[in-house]
Amino acid sequence: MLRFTFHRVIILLVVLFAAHFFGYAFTFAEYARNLQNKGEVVDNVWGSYRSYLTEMVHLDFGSIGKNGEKVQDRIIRSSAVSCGVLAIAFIASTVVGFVLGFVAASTDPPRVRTWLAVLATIGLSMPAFYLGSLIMIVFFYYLILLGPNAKLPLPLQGFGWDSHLVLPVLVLMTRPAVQIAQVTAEYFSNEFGKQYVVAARSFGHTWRKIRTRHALRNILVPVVISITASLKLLICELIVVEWLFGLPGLGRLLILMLVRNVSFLSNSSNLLYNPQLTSAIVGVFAALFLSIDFLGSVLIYWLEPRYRV
Amino acid sequence: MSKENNPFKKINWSLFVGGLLILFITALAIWGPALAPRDPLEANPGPLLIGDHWDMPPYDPFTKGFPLGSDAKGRDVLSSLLWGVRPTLELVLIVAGARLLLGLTFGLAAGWTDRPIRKIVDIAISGAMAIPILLVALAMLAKFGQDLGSYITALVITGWAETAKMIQAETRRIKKQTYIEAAFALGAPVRRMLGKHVIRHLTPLLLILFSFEVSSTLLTVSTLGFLGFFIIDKRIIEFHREGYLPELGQMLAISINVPIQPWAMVAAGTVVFITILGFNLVGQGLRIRLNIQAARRRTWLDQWTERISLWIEQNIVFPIEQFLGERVGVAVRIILTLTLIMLIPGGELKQQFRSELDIDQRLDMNAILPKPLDTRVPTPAKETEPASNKPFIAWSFEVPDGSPAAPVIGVDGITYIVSHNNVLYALGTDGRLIWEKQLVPEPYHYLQHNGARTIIPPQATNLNNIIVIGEQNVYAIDKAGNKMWDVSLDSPPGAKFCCSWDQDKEIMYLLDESAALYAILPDSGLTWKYLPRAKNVVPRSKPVISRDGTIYYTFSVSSSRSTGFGDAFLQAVTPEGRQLWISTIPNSTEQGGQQQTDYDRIFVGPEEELIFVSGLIFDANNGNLAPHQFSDFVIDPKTAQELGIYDLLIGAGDKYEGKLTAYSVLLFVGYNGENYLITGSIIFRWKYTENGLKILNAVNANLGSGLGFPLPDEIGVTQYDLIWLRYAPSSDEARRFIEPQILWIDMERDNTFKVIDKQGNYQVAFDPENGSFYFCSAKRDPDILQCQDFSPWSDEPDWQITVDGVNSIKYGHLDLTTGRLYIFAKNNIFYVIDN
Repeated sequence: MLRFTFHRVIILLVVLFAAHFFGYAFTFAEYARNLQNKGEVVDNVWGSYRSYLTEMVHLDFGSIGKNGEKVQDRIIRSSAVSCGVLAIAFIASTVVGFVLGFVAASTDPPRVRTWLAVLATIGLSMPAFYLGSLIMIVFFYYLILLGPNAKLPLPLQGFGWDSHLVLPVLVLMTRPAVQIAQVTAEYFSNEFGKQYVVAARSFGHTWRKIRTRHALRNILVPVVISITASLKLLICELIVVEWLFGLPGLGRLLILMLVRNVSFLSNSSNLLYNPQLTSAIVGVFAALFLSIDFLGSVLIYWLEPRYRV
Repeated sequence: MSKENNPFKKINWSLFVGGLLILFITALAIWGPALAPRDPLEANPGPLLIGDHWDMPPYDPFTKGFPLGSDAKGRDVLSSLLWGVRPTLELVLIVAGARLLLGLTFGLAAGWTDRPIRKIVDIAISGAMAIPILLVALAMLAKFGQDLGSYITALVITGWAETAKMIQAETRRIKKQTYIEAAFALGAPVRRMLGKHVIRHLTPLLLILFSFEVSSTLLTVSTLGFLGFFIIDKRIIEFHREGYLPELGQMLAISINVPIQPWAMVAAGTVVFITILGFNLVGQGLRIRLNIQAARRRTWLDQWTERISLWIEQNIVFPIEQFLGERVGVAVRIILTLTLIMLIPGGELKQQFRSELDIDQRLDMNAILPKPLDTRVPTPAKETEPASNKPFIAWSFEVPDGSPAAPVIGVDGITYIVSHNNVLYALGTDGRLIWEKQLVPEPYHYLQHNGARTIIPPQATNLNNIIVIGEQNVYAIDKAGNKMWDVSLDSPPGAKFCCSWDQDKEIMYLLDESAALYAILPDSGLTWKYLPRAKNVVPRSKPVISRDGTIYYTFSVSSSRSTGFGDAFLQAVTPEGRQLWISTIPNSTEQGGQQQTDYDRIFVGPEEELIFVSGLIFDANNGNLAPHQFSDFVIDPKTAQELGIYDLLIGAGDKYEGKLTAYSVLLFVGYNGENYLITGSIIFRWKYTENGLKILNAVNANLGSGLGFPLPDEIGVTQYDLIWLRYAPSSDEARRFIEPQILWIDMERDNTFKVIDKQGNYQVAFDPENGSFYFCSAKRDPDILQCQDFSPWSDEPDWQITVDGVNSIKYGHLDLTTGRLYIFAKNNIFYVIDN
């Protein structure tokens, strides 16, 4: 186990470093061109990256634009929002998905109940932006119906650790939740058809006991894999959800940074083509992905004895 | 097995419903354009007679002629949708096909080969799976975007991994089968084993995977569309919210900006949802139906399919292969398949997009739609074909008796012009006259400083109606030209200080000549009125609205208006119309019949805690003067020398002691949200701290005499931190002191750039966002109007356009929403320049 963990940590660090360098190099050319146009001497990408690493050792991650805002301050602020929303959506989707899957796996005959199949098919086919936009439109018409003095039951835009999170989390968790529910129900129903379940029933075990004692243990690995995959899905959807609901998180920062003309909509000029910021964002995203992957594989390794052989 | 438990005895609902949905979408893609009732690009600015009233776009769903409504320009949503499905589906099929091909190649390589190739391909698959498609696509489009190749590459580059993983697993399973062992023992080459055995056994899986690939690709394409990346005429435009050719992604991208007109979003989003659902259902259905592990009941369809396949194999393919050899036979097989694919949709999918807008096949909507109220156009619109990126005159319009004021552009792009005879003309985006209306009562006329008679221009609202400001009342006209409401004023409106809008353009604030403040809603009129506590007061500035809705303005008090101005005050009013505070502006009492300073330049500080009035700083919370003022501003000689402004801070022969005594000061806030002040020709970037005004940076505009220099006519800072100044001396005497010019200054690099306006050009428009200036000038003999666009740091115009036969300009205006330049020449012709 230790060897496996050590092996994975080494890979994680190498990939993280590569991602960080890639993020830096990604916008460096544009950045260097801008500086050269203004008559400044610019080092090559590797030399510049090495200088940046030296500054990082002294906890100087660079600054954004001429306001002098520190990159780490912005990243920490945005990461806190994104990670908070992700964590809530992740817990909610896992709990809801697992409970739905648990309930939807019928025992006799062993199959997935129709309502979950329908729900999962619709849920997986519904893009987050569509669901979010529909909710916004419903709220909009609610306002039109009740007049300008009416108050929305839930805020549509902005961020706060309160009711502001309800709609983004709801939109974010829908697809992962139905995905987890589908996987859980399918694996449960597969297990219920197996011989050991028939044997357990013949010994007089209740379905509850069979579910929790036997079947659950056997399906944990695929469910954990599905939860890991759902978390990755969450991160992708996060970009859209942050953009839609105006959450000041990493996803929104990424869009503001990557897309030149977005400045038409919002003041992002300071963020464009900033290698320090790009590498930091890419680094955080890569760290999130790699950590999820790492935790997932360690968990699977621990749960599944066959991998240890 | 009972009938109930046998899956093959049941209807495969997934396949059935999914198949129906895909058939529907495919039919839309193939025959949609032919069924579209309108040209999807045709703007219909209206008006449209619905029942007994006239309506303007955007039309609601179920409006006659617009079953799914229209967008703001009157383009039919249904037609856009019918045209938009095809390019999206084409793109999605291409991308899904490419992903499947890559996935098959990598999957076969990883599943069939042994180490080290297997290991390398395995790592490639795992790596591609680890990187989220959306992130990669966004990054690639940001880096290499703008063309279809990059777009497809961005979608394909990592999307193949899931497919490859599944094919890899299935290939490994097949490789262990005994028939592969047998083929290997008989000496069959790998190519043959892969072609004859592996791929043939993978075919059911490929069909399933293709379905899921299509839905996954469409999901990514639509999400990218929503984020602003979509296909436009075989190019990709990022964050271009104005749509051109219909495409589902484009319809989604446009709709996010207009939640009050959600028809396009709902329609496009629903089609996307249905398509994804259809392909997901078909994938699931195929997984059940083509389950090669299970015994299959052969339906009549299966039997006939097998018979036909067998017949084709025996009578066409096999003889050809025998006659021409195996390789040519395979080629013929591929050609036959492709021909079939092309024949089934009748080659429709290969049609070119824009060139096929066949108006003749559509309904003649002119017969359905009512004529505009008045189609009389005083001067026919002159339209010039646009060259690539070259400016052109989009249209022109002659106002018979001239216009006293600049045009007003509505959020829907409609242009409103008031003539000298008080007729309001509403012109569509193509210059067509929509309606004209005699304004009764007439707009308020007043005399400018130069003696010219002008009016307070009508105000365009976010609800597409127009507010007209008369002498005794204010009223609104809806988009069809009907009067909506009327509000009486206690005094005539405050001429040039009349009106301001809040940030969201939801409330208009109007100051009348006695400094009474009116809050007016576009849809219902007056919501509250705030009366000043003193008599004989005169407004000195426009109302300025902070983000929290507080309204600030200045006014002066005098015992008699004829004797000039008395004390000046800064007033703060809450968004509900109650006084927040009122503060005296120190040393503002008139001297010699003239107020010492103009108090018409009010800025709300970036943090909204400070209010700047000319050179003074007020606390926004209570109206008190802030503890630190510009008068306390100290810049020590050493710093002044470092900044290179030491010599400018003193008069001739004086010694600079560190205290600034400026003739005139202006504190202002840049577009980038930072504090600036200019005194003379020195500009400082500053910050308000507990210890006073802290100078962050300073730059000299190098115009000469430092502090004694007059303030520019216009000044600002773009969002890119670029300072711009414009000097426009009006008299020859003033011109001797400074030439008409514009300057761009990069404070960080102490870099100044100027364009001297030697020809006395008339500056018509300025884009505060990026610092571009638009100049127009007219000359006589020959009569020519010339307009130029200057970007920052450029003394060469980016573009220029000349119009013959125009020898003078009245005024110009740049509308940032439409991106057009509006020029009104003195020959009463109104030109709209687009690039």
